[in-house]
Amino acid sequence: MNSSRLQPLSRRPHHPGLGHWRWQRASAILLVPLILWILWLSLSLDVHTYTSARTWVDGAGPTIALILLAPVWYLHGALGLQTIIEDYVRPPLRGSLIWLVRLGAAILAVATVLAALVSV
Amino acid sequence: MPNTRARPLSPHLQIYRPQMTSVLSVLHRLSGLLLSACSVVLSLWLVSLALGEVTYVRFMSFAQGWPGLSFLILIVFCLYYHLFNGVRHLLWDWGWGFSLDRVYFSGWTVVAAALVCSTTTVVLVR
Repeated sequence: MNSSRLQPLSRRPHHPGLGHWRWQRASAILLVPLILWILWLSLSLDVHTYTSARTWVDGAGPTIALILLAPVWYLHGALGLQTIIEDYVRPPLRGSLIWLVRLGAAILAVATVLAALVSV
Repeated sequence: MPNTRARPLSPHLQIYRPQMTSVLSVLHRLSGLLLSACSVVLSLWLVSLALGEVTYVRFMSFAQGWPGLSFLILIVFCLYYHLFNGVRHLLWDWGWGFSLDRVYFSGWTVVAAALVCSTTTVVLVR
């Protein structure tokens, strides 16, 4: 019998999934205002010409919003994909696939932030 | 001691009888998966913009017409659905809305809000 079952929740050693659960919720809560903000800003975005798109991205609002959004978005995405991989992919491949997702998310987050910063 | 034993894979979806609750749950994952895939395109759009006019025009030539429009509709619907259903999940984490009638009420609210918002956005943006 596992003695940890008799201890109060607060004294039990942390389950390895607890950090994942907390980050998933923290990033979700941050994403709610960030998504609404970027959607609102996108109403004034015209993607059809280079100049109009450039002007939009160079604006203070979109630049700040994109820099804040990209890391949180890709963190949330990587955590979500990890859950799906853990549910449906067997161990030898599971771990490497999760690291591949993390690497891809990190590269895309950095690329997005840099692209938003260019020519500010 | 934390439970680190090898655990079985999740049962595959076809074994479940579809219910409104389970369909919305699957849709939450599916929309999250699609958003992850679509965000690569959005990031590449920004990168192409940062690389200059030639790259941007080349990128946009692929995004014109029906591929661009279907991408827009797909990502906008997934975004609103995942956003609203994500708030529903956070309310559950908070302890609100577990009774069956509330689960159904919040579920239909999420679907209706996502449909209305995505239609409005696509019409406004086009």
